[in-house]
Amino acid sequence: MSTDDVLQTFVAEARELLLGMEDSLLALERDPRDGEAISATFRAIHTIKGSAGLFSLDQLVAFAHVAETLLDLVRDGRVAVDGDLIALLLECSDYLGFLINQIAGEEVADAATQEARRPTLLARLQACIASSVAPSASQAESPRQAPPSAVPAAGEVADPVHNDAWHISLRFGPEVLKNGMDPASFLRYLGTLGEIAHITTLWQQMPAPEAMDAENCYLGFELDFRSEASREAIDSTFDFVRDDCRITLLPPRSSIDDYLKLIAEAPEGLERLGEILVASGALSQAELERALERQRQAAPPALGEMLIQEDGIPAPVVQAALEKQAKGRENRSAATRFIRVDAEKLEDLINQVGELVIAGASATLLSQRSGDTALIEAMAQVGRHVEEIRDRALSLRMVEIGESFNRFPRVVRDVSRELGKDIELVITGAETELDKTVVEKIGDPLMHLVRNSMDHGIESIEERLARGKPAQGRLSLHAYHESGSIVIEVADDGGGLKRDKILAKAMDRGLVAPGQALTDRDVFNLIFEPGFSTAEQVTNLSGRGVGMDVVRRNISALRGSIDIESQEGVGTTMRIRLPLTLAIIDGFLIQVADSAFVLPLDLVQECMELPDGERLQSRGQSSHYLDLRGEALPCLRLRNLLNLEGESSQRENVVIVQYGNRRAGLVVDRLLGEFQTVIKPLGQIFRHLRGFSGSTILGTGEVALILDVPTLVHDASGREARLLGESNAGQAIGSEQPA
Amino acid sequence: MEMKTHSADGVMHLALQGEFTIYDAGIKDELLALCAGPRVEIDLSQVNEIDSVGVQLLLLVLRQAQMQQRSLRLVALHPAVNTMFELYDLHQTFGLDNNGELPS
Amino acid sequence: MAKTILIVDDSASLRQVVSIALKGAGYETLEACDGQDGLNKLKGQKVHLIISDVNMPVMDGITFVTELKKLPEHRFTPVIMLTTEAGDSMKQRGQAAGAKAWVVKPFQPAQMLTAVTKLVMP
Repeated sequence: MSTDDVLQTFVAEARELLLGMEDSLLALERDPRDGEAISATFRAIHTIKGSAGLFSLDQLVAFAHVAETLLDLVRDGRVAVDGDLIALLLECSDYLGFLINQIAGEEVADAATQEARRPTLLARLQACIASSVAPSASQAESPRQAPPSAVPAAGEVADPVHNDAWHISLRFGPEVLKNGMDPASFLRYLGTLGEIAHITTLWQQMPAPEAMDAENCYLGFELDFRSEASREAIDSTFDFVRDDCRITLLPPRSSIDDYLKLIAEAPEGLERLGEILVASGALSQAELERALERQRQAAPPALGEMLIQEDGIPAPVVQAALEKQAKGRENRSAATRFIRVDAEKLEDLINQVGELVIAGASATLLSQRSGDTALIEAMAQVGRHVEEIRDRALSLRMVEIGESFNRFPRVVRDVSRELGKDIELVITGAETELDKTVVEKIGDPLMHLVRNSMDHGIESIEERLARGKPAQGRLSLHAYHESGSIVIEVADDGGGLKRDKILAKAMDRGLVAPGQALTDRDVFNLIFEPGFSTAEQVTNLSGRGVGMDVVRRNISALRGSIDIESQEGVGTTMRIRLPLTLAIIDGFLIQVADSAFVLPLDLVQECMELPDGERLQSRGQSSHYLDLRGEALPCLRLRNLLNLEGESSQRENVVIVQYGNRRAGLVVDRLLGEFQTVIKPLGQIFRHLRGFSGSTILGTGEVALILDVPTLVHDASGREARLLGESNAGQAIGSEQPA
Repeated sequence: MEMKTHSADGVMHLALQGEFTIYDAGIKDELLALCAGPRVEIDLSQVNEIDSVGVQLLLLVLRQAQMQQRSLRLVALHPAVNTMFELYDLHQTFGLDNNGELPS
Repeated sequence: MAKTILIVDDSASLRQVVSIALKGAGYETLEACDGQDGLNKLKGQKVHLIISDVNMPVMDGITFVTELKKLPEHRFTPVIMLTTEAGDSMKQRGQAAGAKAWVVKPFQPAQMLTAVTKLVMP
């Protein structure tokens, strides 16, 4: 793995953390005392900063550091959580996102503007930090003592000794071994900085066997060390044991006083240490005697001064707090157990599975023709496994829609502030799964619908109060599965669509003919026509160059549909219906004339033989109704609709399909049964054909077209409504069922 | 760590095997007991890892033997032990020359 | 025999960079994404050193060290904790739990390598 790859990991990780941080900040906005949300926010910044340091991303580190300092104060309760703080932190999150984008090497359009925010944000962060209250007594930290080591001033050493090596005196505290700190490892490290010229291991402090705790350390060392390394470098060897170890570091040619001090303080006793130093060559016999002489002359109190070992670390009772931290967040841990897989690899796998499905169908067909029962059974077995593999492969690409809902809390918050509205966002069904490729493409249309609802749907606070509604508007995102589709609803409790206004405008634009009878649904759907806009006032939310027509086009491109339910004064629900996957479906194979077609099995409700009487009536017409248990079911005769000629069968069949809450019957010649269908895009020449959504390859190698049921159903009921409308004063008919 | 013993000609031969680290601190009393005889040889040729706890325990049995004027010798060092003794400059302490051999 | 180091941090990129640096110096590495994962990774595994972050989801570093000290097979394993300048009170709690070695985030891979070699040579 190269560092570049790791940088990509960092970018992906940082983006996830920022998203999570946004979540936490919004949670904090709802409940400023949510300790877990504060910790999570701190952790996000902390982790980003920590990782960024590894890549020397200094800009990022410096900024994150200030934010982290503030969050640490927030965590300690020294800075209060309020709306301004959350707003500031959200802006910081945005700015960090911008830095991450730059690191990722992405073109950032308004880089200069973004960068210009930095000093302001930093100043605001600093202001918050400055406003922090003093820590309570329990939080105060005891001041640290400087590490005990002699500090000789270079050039003016009084009465230096001859020793031209460093002298290092070490007495390890009893606990070091239990902490995993073996003196041997520090000595080995020291060996990398220079040469240990002489070492005396002192173990005489080891108590009698019965008093000895074998896990304790009783060792001390006097060593002479030749090295070019700086004092800091040598001294830093013992950083990890500084609190548990008495360390004296005497540079080459130190003053004899420093040695005297060392000797005087040695637990082994003056004479013993003196001998050791002479034996090791650190001091000459003469130097030792001179030192001892001085010691006799010096005043006792000065000598009695002992090196003060640093106090043990106070052990505060932390268990309760720790347990609390350990709980919760369990769902987050699931995320870290995931493996990142290149989407292309999954794509490859799914394509391969598609090929396998086709090859399997072909083999099954051949086995059936052979009439060999054992072979047929074996192939059926293979077929079941292939089906399972198909489902598993597709499920790999299924993700929770919540992923694309994630950004909406922030959007709703920001936009409602901008508009001066108070809007609550309710998300349900975020765990509903659908194909990753669909999730990626649904983000923009959803965003547009959400903004549209906030902008045009939900009324201003005054208006709402005047209508007797609560001041706070409600926007809900709701996702659920329904017969092989995923349905996403964007609903608001706003003013609803004004039928008359839409109709007037549509006539104005020439979209409908005067006097044309339209159902409410038809009228509402007019807002998806290109160039249609009812907003009286263009706010900065609209006018982004994306109209509702683009929303519908995007959704159609995903083989989905959108429709609207609205009641004036009560609210509007936009309902998007999408296929769960774009790759493989369970199909239902039918035959019309000599051609085979595929219907998505999920949409097939039932099949019936076309009654003889009906059959005669419908000949030569592409559309009519069927009396289905008292319900007027619009029917399409595919043979006529598709202009297919060829031998017709004795009996025709009706396949009843449902899409959304509309149903229609498709009159076909033969029912060929279920068929696993690998969806292939339509070739260029078929693109313009209405009524087909794709093609597939049958086991025989023949190509079959996949019928676009939503379009057919729409056409069938539309045609019917118009036909009826002419004679029936625009009464909405259709065979509607409650959704 | 494992300890294996056999005695011959009045000499207690103790072979230590495996890692001799802080996780073996609990063998202190057993080790002292095994080394309580008048003539003891400790074979360290199978001790493939040793830390300061191991060194301290060896120093402890050595000191007990010296205090009671018993004979205690190390007869063979695994390279890992030898390296540790070099680092702490303990060969002479255990009556070995600087190659970890017994002086002839 | 190469020495094995367990890296416990919720940042995959941090783990990877540290791991690359350590492997380059001749260590073997194991990675865990939080304290709980770290405890799992220790099962049946000889580890010479542990590098652990403090702030992690599921199980933070202090709890991890506290739990580590209860494991007979691992309780004396040296631990380098990763901290920030802002985290001095955290440092005290960590030291109380038995983690004496601290490295300040952000750090360069070379700094981490130095800290590691003070405790365990490759």
